[in-house]
Amino acid sequence: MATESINKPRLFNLILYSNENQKVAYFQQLIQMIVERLPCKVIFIQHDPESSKNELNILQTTIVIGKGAQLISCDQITIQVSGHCLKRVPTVILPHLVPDLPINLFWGQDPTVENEIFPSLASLASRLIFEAEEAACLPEFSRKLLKQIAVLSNPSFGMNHMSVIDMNWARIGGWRRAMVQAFACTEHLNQLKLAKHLTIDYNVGSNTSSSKPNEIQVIYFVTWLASRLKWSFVNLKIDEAIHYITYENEHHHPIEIELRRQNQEYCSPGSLISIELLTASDFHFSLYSKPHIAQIEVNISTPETCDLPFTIPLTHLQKGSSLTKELFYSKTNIQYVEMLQALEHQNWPCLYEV
Amino acid sequence: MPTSSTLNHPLEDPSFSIKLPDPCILVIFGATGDLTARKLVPALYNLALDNQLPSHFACVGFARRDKSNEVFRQEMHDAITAHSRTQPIDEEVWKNFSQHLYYHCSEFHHDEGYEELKTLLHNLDHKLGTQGNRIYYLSTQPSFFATIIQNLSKHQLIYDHKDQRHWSRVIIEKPFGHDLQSAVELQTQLSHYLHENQIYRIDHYLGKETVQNLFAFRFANPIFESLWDKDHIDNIQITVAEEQGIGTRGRLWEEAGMLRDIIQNHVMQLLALVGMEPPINFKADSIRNEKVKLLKSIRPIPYHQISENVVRGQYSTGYINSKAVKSYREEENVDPHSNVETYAALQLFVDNWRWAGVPFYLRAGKRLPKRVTEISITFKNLPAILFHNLADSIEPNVLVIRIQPDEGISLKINCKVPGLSLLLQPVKMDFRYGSYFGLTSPEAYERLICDCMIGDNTLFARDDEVLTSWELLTPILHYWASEAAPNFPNYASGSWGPEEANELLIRNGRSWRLN
Repeated sequence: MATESINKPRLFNLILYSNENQKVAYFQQLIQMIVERLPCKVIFIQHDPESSKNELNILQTTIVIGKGAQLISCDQITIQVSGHCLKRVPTVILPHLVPDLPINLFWGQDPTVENEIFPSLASLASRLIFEAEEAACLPEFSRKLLKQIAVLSNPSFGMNHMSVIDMNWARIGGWRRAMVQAFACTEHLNQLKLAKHLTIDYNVGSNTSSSKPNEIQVIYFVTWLASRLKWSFVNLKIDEAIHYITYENEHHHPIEIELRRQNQEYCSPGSLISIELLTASDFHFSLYSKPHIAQIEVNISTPETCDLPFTIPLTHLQKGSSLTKELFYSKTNIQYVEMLQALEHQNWPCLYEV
Repeated sequence: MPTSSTLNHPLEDPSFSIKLPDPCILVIFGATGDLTARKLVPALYNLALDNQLPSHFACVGFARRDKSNEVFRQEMHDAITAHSRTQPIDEEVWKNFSQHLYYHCSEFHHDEGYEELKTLLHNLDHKLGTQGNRIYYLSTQPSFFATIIQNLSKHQLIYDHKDQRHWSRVIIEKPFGHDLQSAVELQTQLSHYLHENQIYRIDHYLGKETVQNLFAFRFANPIFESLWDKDHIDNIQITVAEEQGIGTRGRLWEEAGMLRDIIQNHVMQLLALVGMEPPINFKADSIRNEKVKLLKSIRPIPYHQISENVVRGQYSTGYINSKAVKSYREEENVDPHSNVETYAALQLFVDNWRWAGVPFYLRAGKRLPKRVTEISITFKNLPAILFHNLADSIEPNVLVIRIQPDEGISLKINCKVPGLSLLLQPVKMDFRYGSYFGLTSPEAYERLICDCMIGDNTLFARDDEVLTSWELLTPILHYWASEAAPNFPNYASGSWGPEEANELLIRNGRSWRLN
């Protein structure tokens, strides 16, 4: 029988922490996506806070990817832990870390929520990636996260300058880029600055295991837009299906924004579906993602004219490489920090009961 | 119209380091040729698949055979199915992409053809928003270059390079001339109509990830850059080996030969990248300045010393992958008494402070045992002091940069064999691109076409680079033309080339790494 030689490349150490049993399968899929693009040593900490036992089990597995002569294997250490044993985890992982390679910490919960082992693990890492799709109270979340970023980025913290990457911010990267391209020319950019009404549809999604609404991406997007265009927040009205936000531009003209929930199967939960923008000069811009193809179609019209539609690539999707590149190669994004600073001062109420 | 790249766009994120290409139309002259089907359109398709094509884009195939847009699109679909690096074809992406493919039939010298092309491009600008930007890809015989450029200029299809409203660029395939004189003539003709910044001389090796990695490897790793000189390196070898013969290219090969086809462009580019000084920044001209400086530092081979420093070869019958193959002179459209070389090897010296005395051995050949392109750097051996008893078993350290296949880098070091006695064994430390970076890398043409759309000519050869390498190699061509090779064919297919090529190194106490 012919034997295939298996290579074991490792670009970095990836420590992933999850404290929700129902999310283990999701995070394992995420690990698969990452190692297919960037082979790495994986340490997956599965913490069960609801268990009454004090247990720590270590399992070693191998993820094999590729085919033929290009078979690659990545080691995965899974640490299943509950109860008091959690505090042992930082020392347990130390011998498994590959020296001389970066350590990326993927934190599968809100990093502002206190966790016994977070400070120890964060002090080892040069990059923190987190996914907090269910931050209930956004202004408070932003406030705490900004403090956290300031602490983690301080050179005196741990051994490294830490980059902080928010998965939800990375996920709207495609739409942020699309906005730049759609409003690339002077005329269109000036129209954007005259925006008076914005409607954004986003996918709540039927294929999520969570019962909580997935609105972080759209809230990030709107707040980012507002912070970049120097809109001031005026007020917010939360409704079952539509959220209404009012901003004011630099000339004190109001901008009314509607965030509308949709239920689509062709895109992932929380992702943006379309943006409709009407300006004070009656320019109408429509951007919508096309099903099954990673593109956004842009239509621009006025009451008198109608431009030919054009398409823009939609990047930063889960299956693409641009998302993994942003997660693992970019620094803490200045626009992200400014967005959080704006979000801190917006009166978003708690979106659901904690 | 100013775009986001020129405006201070409030939404633009500087951390997205990839510049977006401008809207444009790419016109491929010679669109029914092999290169379009095998490389160019598959490259465009993969750019579309990776969302790297500009949002407003069209590709027009220009050739002499009469066909409709639909027939051309179907042919290109078949070409992509056969040659795309990503499989299977994404039919949704193809459907969208194919709507941007057009075909225009004309002779290269017909005025009406260019006027019709102008009308077509104008209409596409209106329909697709391509803003008047043009790339003309000359995938034709070099004899047509001047005619095409002249007609493009005559029919205002090429703009002045200072035009602020739109731009036009021309991509020219190698060979750029067949010797120094013809290269100078061609350059003179082109510069009559085009500014140097509008001319993109394509050498697809420069688009390969592994070749671009030479920059990162040399200049992001101080450990190696500090050893990259005559004090530490014994010799450098560059090998471009192919197991294929000349196939159906007999007619073309009889006009060209190995020195023109591979050495003058690909090999000299690799030599420049390996030997150049660090550029002051990563701007195109800074890099190209250093490459030219290196090429100009190469010691010209005096006419009477050519036979001592250059070897030519021609393959005879033999075996490739256990199959019998014919000799070059038996190939289709080849003169049975042909004097054209299918193998060339050279010994060169670079007369500068960094490389004085270090031989550079270059070779390229057809019908060699395997397909491989690599650069090997052999370091100086240690003095026989500590290991004087083991002098015979100590091998020099060798760094090998594998350009293709099995892209990667390996370093040969000496290790002790476990046991009671002190025995040394050479071992290899190995980095493989494919293992570490998973996904298939973009093909060279994808990178190069994208760079042309962006207006970045770093990875394209400048006029002085091309002319300097012709200046070095043309005397060799003249020498060979004046003296018939006495012993052609002089190497068996499946061997590593003529014995004289080995002697080139043996007489200096060296040998080819692959032999």
